[in-house]
Amino acid sequence: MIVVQGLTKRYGPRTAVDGISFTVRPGQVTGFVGPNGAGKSTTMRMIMGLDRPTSGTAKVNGRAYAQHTSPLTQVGALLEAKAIHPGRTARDHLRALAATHHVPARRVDEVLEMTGLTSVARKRAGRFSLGMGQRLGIATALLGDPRTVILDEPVNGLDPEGVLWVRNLARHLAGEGRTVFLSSHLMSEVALTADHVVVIGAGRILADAPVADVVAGASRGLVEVRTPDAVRLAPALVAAGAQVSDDGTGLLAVTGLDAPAIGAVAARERAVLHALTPQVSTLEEAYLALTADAVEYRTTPVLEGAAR
Amino acid sequence: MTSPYYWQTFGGVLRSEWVKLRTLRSTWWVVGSTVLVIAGMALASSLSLVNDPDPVAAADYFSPTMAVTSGVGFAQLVVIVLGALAITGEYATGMIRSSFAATPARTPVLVAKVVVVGALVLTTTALGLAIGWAASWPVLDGAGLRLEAVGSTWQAMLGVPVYLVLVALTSLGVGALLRHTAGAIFAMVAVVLVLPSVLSLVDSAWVGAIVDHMPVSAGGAFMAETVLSTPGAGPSAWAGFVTMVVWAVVPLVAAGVVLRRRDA
Repeated sequence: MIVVQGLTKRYGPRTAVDGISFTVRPGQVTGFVGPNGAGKSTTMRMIMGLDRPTSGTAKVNGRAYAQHTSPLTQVGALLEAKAIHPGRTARDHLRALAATHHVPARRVDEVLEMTGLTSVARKRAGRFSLGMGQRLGIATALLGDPRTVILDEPVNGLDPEGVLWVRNLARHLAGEGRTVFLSSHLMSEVALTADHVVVIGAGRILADAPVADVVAGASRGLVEVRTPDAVRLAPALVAAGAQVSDDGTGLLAVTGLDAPAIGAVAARERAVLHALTPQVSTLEEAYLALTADAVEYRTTPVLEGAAR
Repeated sequence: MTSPYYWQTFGGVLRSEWVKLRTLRSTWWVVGSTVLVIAGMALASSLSLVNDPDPVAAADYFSPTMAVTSGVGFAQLVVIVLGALAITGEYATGMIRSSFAATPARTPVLVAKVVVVGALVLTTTALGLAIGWAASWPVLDGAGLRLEAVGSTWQAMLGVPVYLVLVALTSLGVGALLRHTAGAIFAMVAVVLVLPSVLSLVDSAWVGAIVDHMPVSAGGAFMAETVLSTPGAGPSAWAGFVTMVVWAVVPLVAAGVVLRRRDA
């Protein structure tokens, strides 16, 4: 269980995390989603006691992480793939961290086996690919058999088989009753793994709900109407309370009225309809809609850039 | 949910730091260089002493004890690197976040580093001196020279390892404060080598007093009979020892204080 209350982090004039509060519950996978620079990693580092909050608290299993007598048994974290000395072998890296908690060599070999690193355990970590480094980070997180597992962008650099493995691992850990908190900048990735999602943008919480609710909540209720009688139908729909945009080719984008209501207006106006299509919002669209105002780095349209 | 019972102790953190130190190749390069520099310079200085036309007269200016401990000047540069790297290497690679995630109290990590770095430098320099002494003995003996069993000889033989431990720990503290390998080594070389020679050009009692309290003078005082010592000048042996301890303790305590406050 992770309880975050009023957590704030400022770097000089820049506010990275702005008074956020949320709870991550055991027995399920909670996704932490937001665009790059939204404050995900900063929040996770504050939970792990690595960064000091400007204000607010982050508690894990009842107390601040640093207050636990045997912290590695409480929380295991993959923070960045490269929190590793490149000159040390994977096994030595794990043995050094294991020693702090009297974790036996048997457990080190076990997590190497679980993460598929046994064959490269005696290779220096500096020679690891991004994916192998990521696996070593996950092995580090699992070392103390922790009640809570925090994974920051765990699928970064993994091949498709590795991505699937992380999904199954997260679900398996949650199934054992552990608290699993994983971040991603890809909503589609989280949707496949998480039960619950916390969406962050520009340091603020934008949504904190079951995955299904986020989709439904952000659905904009857009209906596409194809009609040869757009000239008569559009004003009638506006009169009925809808917002209508007409692209001039007979395709209307209607919001504010649902499909049956639009059909009724069309019947009254004796307008011919060729298509009446409610647009179902996908999770990715819901996410983009939520974070539209919170994106730190925005791309310029290609054509506009080329014209200059 | 049941969980196997792992528990954190300071002994565990100490063992972790030892595993970290011994599993890096750079550590063994530094250890090897230290032994080689101390033993090699002892032998080289002894050979040059006995090759003097009148070795017995030359020994009045450059004693067998000074010859055997003559590696201390170079060795201090090597242990500066060892001390600084023990912590700056972790900041440079990001390992520090793994270390502090495992031991969020942080202070035990620094204390454990003090113990393992101190112990390694002590045994390494003592080994270098023992080998240097054993290799120089027959050379010196052939010219009728020997290490005299007097106080200054003992002070040099015991003082060199102690001095080098304190230099390494000063460097560890400076490294923990600056969190930057090149910065820490530069600062240490400035304090140990550059500043004393530059400042000694200034003809002022004030500046002279400062130079007397810099590591080389303080160490030279309690090592009594080494190439770094200037008998009859500078602080007393005890004052020198206390000064050197202060040099090591101040940056370490300062680092211990800021370590807990800073973001890793």
